Amino acid sequence: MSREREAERDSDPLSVDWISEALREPVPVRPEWRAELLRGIEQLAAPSPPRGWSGARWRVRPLTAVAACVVCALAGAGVTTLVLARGQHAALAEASGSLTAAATSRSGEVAGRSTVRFVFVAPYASNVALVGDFNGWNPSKMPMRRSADGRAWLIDVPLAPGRHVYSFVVDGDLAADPAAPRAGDDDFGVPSSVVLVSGAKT
Amino acid sequence: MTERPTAKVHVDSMTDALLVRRVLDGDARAFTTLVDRHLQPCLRFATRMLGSRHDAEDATQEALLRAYRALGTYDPEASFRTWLFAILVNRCRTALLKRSRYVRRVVTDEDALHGAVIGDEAGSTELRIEIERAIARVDPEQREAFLLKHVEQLGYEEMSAATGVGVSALKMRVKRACERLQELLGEVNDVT
Repeated sequence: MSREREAERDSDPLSVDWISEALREPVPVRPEWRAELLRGIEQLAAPSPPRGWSGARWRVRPLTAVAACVVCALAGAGVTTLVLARGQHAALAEASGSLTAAATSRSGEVAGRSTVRFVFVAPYASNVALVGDFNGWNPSKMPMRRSADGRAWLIDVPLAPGRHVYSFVVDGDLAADPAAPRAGDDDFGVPSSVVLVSGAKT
Repeated sequence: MTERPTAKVHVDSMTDALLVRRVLDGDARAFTTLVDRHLQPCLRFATRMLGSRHDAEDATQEALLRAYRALGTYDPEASFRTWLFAILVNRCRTALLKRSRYVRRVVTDEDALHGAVIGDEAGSTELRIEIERAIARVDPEQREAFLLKHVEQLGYEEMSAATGVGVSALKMRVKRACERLQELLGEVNDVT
């Protein structure tokens, strides 16, 4: 607020700014009322997820899983080869936009887990984090680091074999991985992608 | 196959949409974070709208319980605050409607003193009470628009989504509310 406006507000108790500020004072929340409210919520049945949401994230049919793992292994090998051949992880599928290319690739295995490199090309972003079912969808757990050329954001994550749903948080907004399949429950609205990690060594 | 995350995680930094997702995944505790994030503005709006702490607590509680039950219908592309305010606005409208059927509420000095929750920074106690009384005397539709715009600081598009009223009509209501408030408080100033 400018000094003139502030002076005007202070001198005129009828100004809209003055009235609004007075009404903006917080209303104290009584602790006993808050506790009662939370108890009321606890007693309710869990909210119903939207149609198509239930269980979709956590169940994969066996045949689908086997087929997906095979496809993932082949695709992963192909992608890794391409990346290594070019020697630049962040250039996988870069399109003309400023925030477009992303990819994942397997690069190693540790104690039954495969290390997956997540790459997101967003040269103009200030902060990018990886969220997914493997980190409780917590954006503070896996902040991504900027690549040497400053164009992409990277992180290596050891993942157990299986299907993982993930997303990127780009300056506070969720973005799916444009280079990966979308999650089946994406119709809920949270843009999410799927990575399938094979248990077999390649 | 991945397992459902069970470990306690820091949820304070999570966006509203992510918290909703966690609730729908079965983590009811994530809703507590959402409640604590939005409880104060909701209670403030309801208190200013209804002019009674007791009614405001009832309306806010009902809105949050309804929000919890209807969480599956929330579109995470939209603002959670706007979605929650849409429910709260309806609860407040219903409360006002019920009240008008039984009693025409008059804000007495005692009411205003009891319900006055404006801090000392706002000026003298007398003036604070006058503001409480003045906002209670503004037409409910105009009061609702004024509070959403100037107190809760929603944009007109958000207000439109929360109230179901068009932007131009909302602008007119806000303008009239401002004029009415200044007129009511001007009368007080003239008397004193």
